[in-house]
Amino acid sequence: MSGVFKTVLSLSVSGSAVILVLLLCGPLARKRLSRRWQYYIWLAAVARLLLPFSPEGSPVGTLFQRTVEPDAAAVSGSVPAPAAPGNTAPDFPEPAGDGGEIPVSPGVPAETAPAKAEIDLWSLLSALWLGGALILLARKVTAYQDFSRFIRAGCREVSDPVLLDRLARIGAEAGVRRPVELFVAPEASSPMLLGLFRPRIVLTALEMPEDDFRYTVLHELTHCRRRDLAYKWLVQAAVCLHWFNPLVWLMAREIGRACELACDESVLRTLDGPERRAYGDMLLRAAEAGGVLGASCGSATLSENGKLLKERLTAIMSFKKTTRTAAALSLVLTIALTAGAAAAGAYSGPARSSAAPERDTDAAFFYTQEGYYQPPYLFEVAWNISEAATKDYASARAALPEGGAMTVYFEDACKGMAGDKTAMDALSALLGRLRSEPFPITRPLVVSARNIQGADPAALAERYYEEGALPQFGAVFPQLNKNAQEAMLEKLYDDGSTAFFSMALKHLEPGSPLAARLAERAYDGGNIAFFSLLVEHTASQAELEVWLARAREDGRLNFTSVLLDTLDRDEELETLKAEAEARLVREYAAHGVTKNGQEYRWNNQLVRIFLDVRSADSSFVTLSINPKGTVDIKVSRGGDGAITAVSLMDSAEAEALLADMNDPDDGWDKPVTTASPAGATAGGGAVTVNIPRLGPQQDGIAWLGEFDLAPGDQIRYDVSAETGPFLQVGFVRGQESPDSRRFCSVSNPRTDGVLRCASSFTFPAEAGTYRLFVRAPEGAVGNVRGSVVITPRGQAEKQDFVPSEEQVLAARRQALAGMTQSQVQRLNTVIRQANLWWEHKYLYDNIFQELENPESLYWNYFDRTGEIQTGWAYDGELDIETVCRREHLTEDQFYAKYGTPVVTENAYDADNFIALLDELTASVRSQSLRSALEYIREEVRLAAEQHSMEHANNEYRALHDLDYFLLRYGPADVGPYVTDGSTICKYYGTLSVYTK
Amino acid sequence: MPQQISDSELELMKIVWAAGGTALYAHIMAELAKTGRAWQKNTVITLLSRLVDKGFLKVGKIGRRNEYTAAVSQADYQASQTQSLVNKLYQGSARDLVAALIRREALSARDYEELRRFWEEGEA
Repeated sequence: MSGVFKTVLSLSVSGSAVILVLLLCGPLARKRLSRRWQYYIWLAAVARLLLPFSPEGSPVGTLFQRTVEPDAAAVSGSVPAPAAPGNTAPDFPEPAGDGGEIPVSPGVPAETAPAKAEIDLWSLLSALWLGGALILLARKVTAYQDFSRFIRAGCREVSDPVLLDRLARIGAEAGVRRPVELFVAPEASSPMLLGLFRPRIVLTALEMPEDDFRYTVLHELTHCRRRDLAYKWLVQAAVCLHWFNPLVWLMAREIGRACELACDESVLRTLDGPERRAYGDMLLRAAEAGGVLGASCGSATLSENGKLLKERLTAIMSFKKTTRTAAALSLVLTIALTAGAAAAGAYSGPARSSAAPERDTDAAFFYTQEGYYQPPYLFEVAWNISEAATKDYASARAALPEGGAMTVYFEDACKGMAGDKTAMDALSALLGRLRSEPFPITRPLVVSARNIQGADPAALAERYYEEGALPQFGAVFPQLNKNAQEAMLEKLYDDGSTAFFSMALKHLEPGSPLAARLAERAYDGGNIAFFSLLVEHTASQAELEVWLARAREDGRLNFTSVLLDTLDRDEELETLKAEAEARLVREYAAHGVTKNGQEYRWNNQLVRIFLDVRSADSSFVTLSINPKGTVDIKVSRGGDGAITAVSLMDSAEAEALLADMNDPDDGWDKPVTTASPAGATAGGGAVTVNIPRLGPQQDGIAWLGEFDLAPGDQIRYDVSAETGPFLQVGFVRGQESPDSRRFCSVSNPRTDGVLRCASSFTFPAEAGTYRLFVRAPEGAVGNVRGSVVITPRGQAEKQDFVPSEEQVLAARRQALAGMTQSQVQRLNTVIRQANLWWEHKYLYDNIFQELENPESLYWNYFDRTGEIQTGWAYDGELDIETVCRREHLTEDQFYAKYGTPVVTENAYDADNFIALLDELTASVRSQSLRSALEYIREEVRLAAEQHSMEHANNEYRALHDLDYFLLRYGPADVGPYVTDGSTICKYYGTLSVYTK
Repeated sequence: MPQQISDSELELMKIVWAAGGTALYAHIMAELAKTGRAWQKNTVITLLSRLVDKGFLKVGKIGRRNEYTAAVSQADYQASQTQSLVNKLYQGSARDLVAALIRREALSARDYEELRRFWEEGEA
């Protein structure tokens, strides 16, 4: 038993590492990545907690053995084996009858006592653990049974075929094929999904608007489709097993939260603007109408608590379909995390679970899985499986038609085909065909193979559709005859199955009358998703023009913008958006609100929270939060949609809204600075106030001196402090108090930890003497750090130069002139990935601090490629200084004895990266872009040569500027996906293209 | 004693009974369509599985197709329904029911005669 417990302990330790990484990633991921990713990535932690497999020699595994077993080893080493069979201590396994060493024998009592105590302690702990786990498990199961019985007693079946029909139709739309039971239980607190094997939706009432029914059911069916209940039970199993580990409880809570958000996201994906609004309304009403029975761990409920509900509503309001950038970033993080998890001894599943099956130009990074028909076989093939995963699969060499051979991997289910000549011949032909595609194939994995000779394609297509097997369906569909294809398409449309529909559409001839008919239906029915699929795949240019004219005439903005998008008429699309925007700006202006870019002003004050709930067309809610603002306003509209009033938001409302917004990113924009002496220093006209470390200030406010300020002065804050809730920095005039009137103030409304206010302003008020303050209105302020830079007007412009989008576009045209599309693409990809890599290391590894030490193992990133070591892990129980003193070890010797290397993968060392940069430079015609790349190259070289952090940092800054300010426009292209755009809007000034 | 079933479930039972006590899923769908009830596939499957749960139907497989067999005959069902009606409304007294029916002229003379004969046979 103690063996099992030790395994659980070791899983707990390595699982905790994964949980910690994920928790730390949270604030960043929340803003940038799809909720779905944020939800499923937790599986890595759950798997780590539940599965006792580990790559050989993983740090945690070996560490754990080392800390758990040394005493036993020491004992066995010191006792020269007086064999006494039949007399061994009961807790030790019987040794093999070869007279080998017996660790403990009663003949040596002096040595037995401590070992015995050890054994007893372990047995005791194991018993405690087992008892706890069993009690918890029993409690969870009985609680679920009670709950389920309680619900069942108070509920009745819904027998109205109208509602059941509606449910069935919505099920088809949500991709749930199996029948789902429908009950109503007035005592339940919220609608919910029950039942792992036989899903049942329980509603709280039937008397609700049709839309509410639809969204409620859609939400629950989405849980059902995604098997969220199975996931929840898995998590509960982990909680029972690791009940002693608070991180696991925290993880369970986070997963529950992520589950609802991911479910909402998945529902929202299928809804357009007004529908989204309605969905949010439904969530609110459901919360209001709640009965008395709470949720149990084994059910998925619609609304659980107020805080989560607010977060969900905010997410709905700001919902955007995941962009390619975000998808790429997800992938980068997934790779980084999987690598990290593997290094920490986590279970790393086959590549299939992690990577997004998305095709992109840099397909070499993407795991893809598709179905192919190569007579007489139907294959499902994945490629680009990770190198590490290859050892999990059986493999064989397949001859290629043009000569040579390729290693192919097989899923267990089809590894038998390696010996089947017909199958291998078909596979060879398929590989030959695929190799001629633009995306290179590496490491193909045969997921399934099926000889379909003589089978009826129509029946097969039907079956694959029923099974939800999209790849196979895609492979079989082209084999259908025309009539069967059309019948199938019609059915898919009726069923509302977008995925299968779009797969099938690819094989429909252009100009097909059926497509035209379906497009007409989609247009009439307002089904924008199907409409855009149809016109994208089947409509000719001329037909698109006709549609466009019609949509314009009908004033259907949604359809117009889809069509403009399909026609690649970006400029008109922009115009359309601009027109809508201009209308809005005029409307606001008429009510005293001026809008400039993302900034709103009201009565000459910068607006912090701007809320406008509109219901007319697709853009129904505008919620803008600008941390620099000082006033919170909301727009009220009448029944006809016209603005009736603009008013101040009351502070309770504003704080509630802010409190539920995501925490600001600390660390994301942490400037790399070197310490400078305390006090104000004048340098180049600018005044830098380096704030000394201040102890706790009792009255919650710290005064940092008086300054003469004039309008147009530039002020930049970067102040952090340990305070109670809420940190504020700003200026007040003369002897006024911050409560009356403050200027250029920044507030960070977070609740605990180190709060940071970083921002910059142009000073707006009249000239005079102002006092600088830092305060925590609701508590003591202490450990203030940071700086405030005041740059007098005139000198400010150059210093704070950030290229505008127009400047960027103009510079980009020049910089990229003469390059081919694919060269530009390549440049983009390399720079973007390098920049994201740095930002990631910056965030999670604090890499610049690490690199300050020339001996740091992090320099392996510059010196080596492949598997590199970036640090040492050792048991946290050991105090390194004590151990070194006791055993007379140097730090290096300590690591050699007790440490386990922390190993990661590195794709490019400095030499390789320089070679890559040279290749890019060769494709560039513009002199200034060349010099930027050469600058990076030189900084990489110097960094590697001198192990100098400054050069590494220069490399990062230049990559950052290139990525966000030349190859894309950070503030516009990435800004919308983050709440705090300070990094993206930060320009380090490394590019000569912007200097006149 | 089987449980209560809903009107829509009864519709399905009637189809199975009319088909001689055994019907394929496809037959049930076809019959429903004939009576103008174009219910969704999953609606019918849900209702059928509820009937299986309640012991009204048994389900068997012929290849991949489901075949439903009535586990309760129409006569038994009617009898039990009558019994529960009598229990519920007439405190167990069938005489009160018959009296009520006669009062409302819901029974024709011929019905009454048949009822009487049935009653006497039961007595014997």
